[in-house]
Amino acid sequence: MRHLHLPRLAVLVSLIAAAMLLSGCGVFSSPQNTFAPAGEVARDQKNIFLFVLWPAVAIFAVVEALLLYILVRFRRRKDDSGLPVQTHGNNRLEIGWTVAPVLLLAFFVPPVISGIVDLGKTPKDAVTVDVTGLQWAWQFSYPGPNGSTPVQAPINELHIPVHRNIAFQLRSNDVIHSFWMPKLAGKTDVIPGRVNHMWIKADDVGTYSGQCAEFCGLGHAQMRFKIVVESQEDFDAWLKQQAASQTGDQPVLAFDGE
Amino acid sequence: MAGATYTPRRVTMAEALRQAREDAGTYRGVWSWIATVDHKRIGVLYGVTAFFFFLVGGLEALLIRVQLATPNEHFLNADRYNRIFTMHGTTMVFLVVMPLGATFFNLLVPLMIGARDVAFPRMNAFSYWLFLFGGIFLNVSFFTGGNILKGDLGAPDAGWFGYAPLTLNRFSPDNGIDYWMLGLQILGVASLAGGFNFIVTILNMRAPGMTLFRMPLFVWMTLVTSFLIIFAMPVIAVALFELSFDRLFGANFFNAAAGGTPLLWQHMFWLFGHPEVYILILPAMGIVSEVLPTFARKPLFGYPFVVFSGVAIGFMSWGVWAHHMYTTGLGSVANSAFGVSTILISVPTGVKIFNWLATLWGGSISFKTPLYFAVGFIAMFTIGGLTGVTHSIVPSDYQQQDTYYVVAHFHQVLFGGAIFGLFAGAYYWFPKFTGRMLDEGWGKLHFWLMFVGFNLTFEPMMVLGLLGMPRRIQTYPDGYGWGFWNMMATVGAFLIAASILAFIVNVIKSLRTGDVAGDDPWDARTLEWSIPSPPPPYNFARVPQVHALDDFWHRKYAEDPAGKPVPVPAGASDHADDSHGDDGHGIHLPSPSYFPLIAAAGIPLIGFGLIYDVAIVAVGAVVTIVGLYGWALEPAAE
Repeated sequence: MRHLHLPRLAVLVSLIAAAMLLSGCGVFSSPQNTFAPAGEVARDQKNIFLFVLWPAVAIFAVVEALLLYILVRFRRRKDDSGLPVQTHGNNRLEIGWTVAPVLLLAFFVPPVISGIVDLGKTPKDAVTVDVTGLQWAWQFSYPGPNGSTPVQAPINELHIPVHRNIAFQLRSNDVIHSFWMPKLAGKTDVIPGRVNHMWIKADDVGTYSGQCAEFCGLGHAQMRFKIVVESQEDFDAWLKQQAASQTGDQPVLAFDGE
Repeated sequence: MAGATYTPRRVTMAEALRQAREDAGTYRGVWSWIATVDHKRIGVLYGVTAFFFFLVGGLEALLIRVQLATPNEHFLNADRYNRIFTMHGTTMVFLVVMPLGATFFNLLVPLMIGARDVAFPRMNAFSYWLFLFGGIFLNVSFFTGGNILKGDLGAPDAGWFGYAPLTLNRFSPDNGIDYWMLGLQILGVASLAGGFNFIVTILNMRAPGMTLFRMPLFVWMTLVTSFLIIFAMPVIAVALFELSFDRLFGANFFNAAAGGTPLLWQHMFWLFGHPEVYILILPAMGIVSEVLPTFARKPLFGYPFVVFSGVAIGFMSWGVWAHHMYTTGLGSVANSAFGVSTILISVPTGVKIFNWLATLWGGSISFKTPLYFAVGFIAMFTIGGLTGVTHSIVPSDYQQQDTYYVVAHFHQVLFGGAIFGLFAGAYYWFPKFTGRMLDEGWGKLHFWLMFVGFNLTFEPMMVLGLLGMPRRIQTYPDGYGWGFWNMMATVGAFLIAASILAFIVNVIKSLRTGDVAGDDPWDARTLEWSIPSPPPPYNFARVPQVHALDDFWHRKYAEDPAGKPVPVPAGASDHADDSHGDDGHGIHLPSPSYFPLIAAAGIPLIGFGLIYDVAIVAVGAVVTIVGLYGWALEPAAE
């Protein structure tokens, strides 16, 4: 009796894949799609991901295909009575499949390290923004002109000029949060008792969405913010207007748990 | 009780067997389980308890999936959602996969090394009871939030890795976190006791001739896992003690405002947490390494390489913890170092996968349910391993960290890997311990439902992560493109639930009417198949003499010069008849004891006392001390 269900599996997998594709083109678009970067950092991160993803997909395909091939070819057949030859191992093969992955993986090391170093170095001439994460909102403040009082942006609203390096200084007054603008850059944690740094550079004028990525309590899911990327002139005008309208009041935030 | 009057002496084999049969009946019914120190019964207790918690954790998973199925869903509010996902993670790691590993250690290790029990049978019972009480203690927290019938849930709500300072009193004022930190502490003691027990058992109790490199691979993986346990659990114990001091006595280890360091928690948690991942997966790797050779009818390919890659993983698991912390701002040097170490740990894992494929290559593969699950393990764990490699790419991990991509990855490892491997073991060894086969039809239904459900649940999560969905959000707005994938994942989760129902039906049905298994239904290779199913309390009537790796197989088959196995005629082997006869050797069985239960029962009382009233601490301490004294002074069977 042949209990070989593998073709059935193949059919199932392809049905699921077809369903996924047919169900509409909208399913791969999102305002937080990391595969649709809108800034230099996110683009570099996407590219290095693809640099590793494709070899990984290839290895996946080879291993799974080999597994299926082995299962089909070496299945016990009705007329099989004897036992297979008892092979115990092969040192050359072992050395081969230890060394080959090491060599392949060695290719990943230089881009990974240079990527880490690049992202870790805040570029000069950057616009500085102070970010404070709190339960459950984001506060952004900009250095005032000529060292005057910092200018507060409305809560959960980040404005930045396009094509400029923006350097963030990240602080928290309560628990750990994580500052994330998926289309512009990967996240950096916001940790009480320390100042973390990250930088971005946006490609285009537009509005983007960001979100807290470290679980921070009841309002974690609501800790979203808007990123407005605008021309330098618009940004300057906005900043001036904010400076003029500062009340000094800290917004009070509450979240009801629903 | 009769246990106290047991008089140990050296006896003849016939007497010993009679004595053993009587002993098993010293306590009847439920008492025979409560006082048991028999590793097989303790294994069954572990298995049943962990499976119960698996159902609890699975129910929690379904609640999470219903809440996330559609945007702006109000099925669970944020408070309930946070408690439920925290308990889902905590339950699955500490109350399901770890104890399921312990289930198989208990059931199999003594049988595989030709021993009559573990080195410390009563400590083994103590481990189990403490695990049970720790699990109950953790889940009691659900009832401490007010009226549970009105949906007022207690329970911890800071995630299974409980990052400080969210866990401090200021941010988590209710008792949930107290239950969590004390519950994990209790479970840690249970794991430590088990870890030491299995290390000593494996190093000291092997049958004559069972050298380390004749041990079945599962025993090797048990040894590596046990070492990881005894080194990893103290690390989390220290972290939990510090948290306990912060919460209970006003210390400031993690309070940044008073000069404490929140990141200290993360370093300690993950220094425990990454070896923990291997504590969860290595037993399943051991199981798969036993199942594949049996059903391919070939020895494990490259046995020493599979052993050493397991040992290498054990060592390397200590050098990768900060890959959980790339986004915390450790700096470029630390991130580079941990990126490279994470890249490297995939090498020994790959070696294992290649050796499993080579084991199947050239075999005569019979497609029984255990093989399905073992092959499912390879297929799914490969995805988990490869997505793990993508996490070592630090710059892109800044994007994926704390998203559903990570959730997908670790479920591919811990469900596609560990759970599939554990079910392979369940189908493979069920006949040995019940005497009956599980049904193949139901088994395959179980497999296919689980395999399809698993992929439907977790592969969409990879997409969700790349589409920017953070983990642990209770809800999400419309228009983020996440609804479709979440719905798919929810459908998959219910398929998984259906597969578990198929398993339960199969077990109930097979226990009553399953085919009688016989000693060796799979024509297997290791010693446990040389004795009756279910094994007698003393396991081996005569301790076997071991001559080779896969010794039992070599009793059945010799190899001709071409490497083809030839059946050995009955009686031709010098040790074919180990299981019968009376050569006058004494048989030594530990006597039942309820003191481990008493010693364990006091410990959760100490936990309750720390939360509610110090007087209960005293009561708990007295109970435990009474248990330990009774244990120490009990007449031993020696």
